[in-house]
Amino acid sequence: MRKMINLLLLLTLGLTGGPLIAQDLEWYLEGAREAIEEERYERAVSLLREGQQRYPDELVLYEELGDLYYSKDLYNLALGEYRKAKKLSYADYYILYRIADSLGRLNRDDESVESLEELHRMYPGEVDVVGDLGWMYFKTSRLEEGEKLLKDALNTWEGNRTLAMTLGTVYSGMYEYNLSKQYYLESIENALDDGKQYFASIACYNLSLLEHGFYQYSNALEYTNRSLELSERAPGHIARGELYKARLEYTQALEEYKRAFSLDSTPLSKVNLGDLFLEFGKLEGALKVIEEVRNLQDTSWMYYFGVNPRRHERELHGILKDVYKGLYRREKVTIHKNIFSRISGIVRGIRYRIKEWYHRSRYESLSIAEGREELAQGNKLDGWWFLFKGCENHPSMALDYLLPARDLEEPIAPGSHPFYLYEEGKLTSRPELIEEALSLFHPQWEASISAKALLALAAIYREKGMEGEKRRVLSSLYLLNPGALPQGGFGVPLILKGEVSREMRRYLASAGCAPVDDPATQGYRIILSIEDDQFTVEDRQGGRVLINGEISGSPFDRAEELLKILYAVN
Amino acid sequence: MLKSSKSLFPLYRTIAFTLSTGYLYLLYYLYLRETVALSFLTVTLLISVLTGILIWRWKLKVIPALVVIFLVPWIIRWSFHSFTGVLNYFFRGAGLQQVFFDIGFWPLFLPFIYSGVACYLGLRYPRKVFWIVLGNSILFLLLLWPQGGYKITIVGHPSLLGVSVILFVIFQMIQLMLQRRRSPRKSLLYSLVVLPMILILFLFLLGYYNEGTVAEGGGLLKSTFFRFDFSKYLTLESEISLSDDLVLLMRKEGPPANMLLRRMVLTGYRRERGFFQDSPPGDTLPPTTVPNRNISIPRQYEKGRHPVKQEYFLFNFDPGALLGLNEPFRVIPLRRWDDSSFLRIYQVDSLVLTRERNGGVEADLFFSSGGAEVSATNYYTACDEDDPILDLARQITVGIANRYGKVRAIEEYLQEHYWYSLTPGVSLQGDQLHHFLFDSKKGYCSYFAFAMTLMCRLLEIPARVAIGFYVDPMGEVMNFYPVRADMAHAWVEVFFPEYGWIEFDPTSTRLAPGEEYAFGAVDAVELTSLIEEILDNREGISPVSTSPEELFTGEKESPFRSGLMKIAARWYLILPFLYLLFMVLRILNPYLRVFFARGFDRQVRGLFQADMRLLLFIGYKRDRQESVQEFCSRLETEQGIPLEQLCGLYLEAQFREDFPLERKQTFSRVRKEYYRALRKRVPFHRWLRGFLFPFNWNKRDRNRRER
Repeated sequence: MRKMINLLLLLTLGLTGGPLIAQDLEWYLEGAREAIEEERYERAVSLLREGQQRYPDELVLYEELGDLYYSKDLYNLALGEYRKAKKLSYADYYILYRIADSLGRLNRDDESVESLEELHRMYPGEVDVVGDLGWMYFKTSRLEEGEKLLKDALNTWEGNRTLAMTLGTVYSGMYEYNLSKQYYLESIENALDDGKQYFASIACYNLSLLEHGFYQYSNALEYTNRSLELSERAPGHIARGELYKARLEYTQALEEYKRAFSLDSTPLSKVNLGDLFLEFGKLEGALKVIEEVRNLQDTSWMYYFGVNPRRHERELHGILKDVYKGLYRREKVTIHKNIFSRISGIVRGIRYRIKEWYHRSRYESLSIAEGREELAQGNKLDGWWFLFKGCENHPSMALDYLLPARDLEEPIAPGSHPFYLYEEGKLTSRPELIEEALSLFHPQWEASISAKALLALAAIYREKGMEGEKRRVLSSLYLLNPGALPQGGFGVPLILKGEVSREMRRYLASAGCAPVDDPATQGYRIILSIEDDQFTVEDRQGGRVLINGEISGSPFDRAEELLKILYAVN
Repeated sequence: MLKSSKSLFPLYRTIAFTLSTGYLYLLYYLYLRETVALSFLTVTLLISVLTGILIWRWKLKVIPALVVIFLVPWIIRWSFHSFTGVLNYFFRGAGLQQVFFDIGFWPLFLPFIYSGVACYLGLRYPRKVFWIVLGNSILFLLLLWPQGGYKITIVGHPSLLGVSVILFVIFQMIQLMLQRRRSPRKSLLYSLVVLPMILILFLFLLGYYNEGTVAEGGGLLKSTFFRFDFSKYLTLESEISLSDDLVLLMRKEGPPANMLLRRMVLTGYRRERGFFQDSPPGDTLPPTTVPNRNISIPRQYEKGRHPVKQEYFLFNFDPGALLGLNEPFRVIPLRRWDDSSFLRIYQVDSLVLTRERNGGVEADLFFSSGGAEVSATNYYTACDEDDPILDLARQITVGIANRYGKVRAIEEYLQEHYWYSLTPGVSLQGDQLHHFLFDSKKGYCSYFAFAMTLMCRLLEIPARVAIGFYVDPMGEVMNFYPVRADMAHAWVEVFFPEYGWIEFDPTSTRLAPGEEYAFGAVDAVELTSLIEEILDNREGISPVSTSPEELFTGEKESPFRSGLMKIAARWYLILPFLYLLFMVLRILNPYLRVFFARGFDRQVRGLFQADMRLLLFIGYKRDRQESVQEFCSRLETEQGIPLEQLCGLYLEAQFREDFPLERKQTFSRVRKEYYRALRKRVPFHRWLRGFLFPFNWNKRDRNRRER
């Protein structure tokens, strides 16, 4: 009897044992999926971990856990799981692809390229891998390899819009304007034929960047508009904002960046907003926005953009150094009510100077590192430009990089000529070069760089003691971008009319406005008339009234209010 | 032999100086580490010290020496630029080193000048080392000053700063002990006197840290020396700032509803002090410290509530602090894994009431009536009469009959008519709350919580202030919610019969016009690594055993830390005490020397010198041209103080080859008579002054005495 029972028991186990174990694995997977559905993630993790311990050779458990981490943007953890899975199945396409993707999102670009190359060798017929590898070659500045890969791939997958767009991007990195445009246009046409408007919007945006980079502003605006018509995306608004900023159209640019911000999942709209504030002298605003961007530690968004953490950090330090420089210089033309306010102004100035040093140091180091890497990859133009920016404070050294960059860029982009004149003039303190650049800048599209050139010119004239010329330049700059003056450490030269008290004159003088009564004094153009509490600012040439306003209170309050209105940008 | 040991002294002093200044360089480097290489900093220090030594060896006078020290960095810079400039012709890119050199040059220029000058002066004037120590101390304080509050950025943990203070003091003591012409014993005594003074300086620094943390924590958080916790009373600051440091992680499953993590409730109120932690008579407050074993808290109110399990992983927060959603009914301390990044882990089970607008619990609350009132109703409605606030409360709740309606009306009124601001401004009348309610209409959470609680109490509705953290539901990663310091929050709890204490958050979400804040975010890398650590060690987390042998003992507050904190808190007693100690030591110093002196002659000389010093302290000064003998004769003839015989014995001890015991005994007898006479002559206040301020400010006299 006992033998019979044992036999029955064995039979039962034998018959049900296999399915029981199989059900067990399913049980872990089902349980984990259910927990994920209910947002009980730790339960899911512990189930999958437990499953991994029980079934260490089951790929699906690692894959599932990796996917869970990946979906929660925990790319480090996901990578760990995918790598464990890779040990079990070396050639699993999905796992290898996810490893490369996670590495890319962690901005470990070189490792990501290695993984994609490995994947490409194993699965040469996978067009997604080729597209990704081409993009990563662009991101790591291995442009020639990217060009070869994508051209070969386009022979195989003729008319593939993703590959065409990536190739267009690679050519834009190589400063091949015509080829880049050709591939972008191809990809746009292809996408529109298939009704893929979102894709076409991205390609149009890339094309607008190309046009902007080659100083074809009208084309850039046209493609930006088209990109936004096809799909309202944050990058489109950013690109349009940049074009408005170049034209010094503050309100329009601000509007574009605000729209971009409402659509943006990256900090790029904020970076541009900070830059816009800086340009127009709203330094506190710029500081706040850029500090907010610096607080954001997530860098996985860079995967989709041609930027890496170093470049991004460099850009932020670049803006911050200019902000602190502006704050320091503005402090010099700030009026003070009493000695205490003056002392605190000096202390503030020292603080700004220290912060400027810090951000400048970081900017220079990062620029040089970036330049060296670009040169190592054979991208001379970008490399020299970065190195030039890295040693701008060492003019002789900077010229060594600026001039070869100029020789390389001017033949392929003639529109760059005045930009190089301006940079060279600034480095060598030769006003004639900057004057020439100013005469060549496009009056509408290059208003922003013109304002910067005027500021640099004023500084050179001040150094050379050419006060009349300096005032002329500052008057022109005031008409272009009044917010640029205080952050450059300058005041607008003023011809005074009406009842202006001695104290008021003193305050205006300490704000760098060098007020005079004689309208014939060289370089003066802006007239300030004060009658009781009313004041008017007008441009003598053409008699155009620029500002009308009202000021009241003590002479200090009146001067402070007046200066605020004088440099306000709307 | 003696000569050779003396000649080694400058070397030792230079080494001690290099070490102590190098320590300052190291601290400075922690600020510069992103921009300047440590090797550059080390070379700068060595060159500056070398410059100081060479100038001292060349016996340059002070002004030329300072000029040379000032010029040296410029000469080095010029040489480097010339060299790399030439090199650049042959190796393109070599010139880029100029940029890196200049990045380090500017921030290290002033330190170079300081260390060069200090080294030179220290060698030239060995008895003035104290001034170098003082200079170093000031620089040390300046270097640590930006690290106040939550801004500890230069080291990984605040306790490392504590260690750095101790190291610094040791380096300075070594410097002081190596002063020339001081006996080792005297130097040691001197150092023992200076040491507490330096430590006092750092106690002030600690006070500054504490002040900083209250403001940095949104007026709510404060430092508990090395970590942070909530203040047990709330103050309304005129301006606060926010820090975004991660303090803990909370894990909670399910939808992110009701995310107010309560640290404690403030029930007591006094107009001049604000709300503070207190014990209401006849009512039990929720626990505030993490127990050593599982505890269950009686469930008082269950109506409308559902259980929610939470886990807390304290990262940079007082490990004894208990947090939990309202109303906790069970706390389970959890065992940590080895090398855990977390200070403490525990689980809290709470019964949570979620108010739902337009229905559910809210509708029940609106129409509820009856039920037992809280046991300390009078206590929870106690507040000073304040007609303007009462009028405002009545105006807001006019026409509303039930409690819930009134409370909601006040909450909504504050949310809609006031602005959030980190700079509420200063009230000219000294009443910040009135300033908030009737003038500025802007404030941070404590203002809103104060205002609403007071309005409720004035309407005789039991209310109290709760403080803790508001958790951002958007920050969730895998059910983990990061909690930052800037999430510190204050809200209001109002009692409802049958339902218990229910939270209301009157803080406005509208920013004051013209104000914008850059609210921080948790470092994603840090957060990810912490979550990874928890997930990796999930199996190591288990409830702490409740057996007596295995009671949790790991996170008791260190006695050293708590002792130091107690000392710091009583600085007003400690400072005078240390001063008195210093005075006693100063007076006892010569007598101690006599005690250790060998030979009767030395003892007599020491005692006489001590007596002379005492005379000086009580106001009998020796003239510049006067000898000791003349001085003693003058005092005897003019003041009637018998000193001549005593002086004779002193001179005998000074110049006679042998000084027998009999003469010492005679000296003692004469000295007794002298003191008897002195006590008669000198009034008490002069003795007191001599004891409290035993200083000889007449430098000429001091110089003469040493001669």
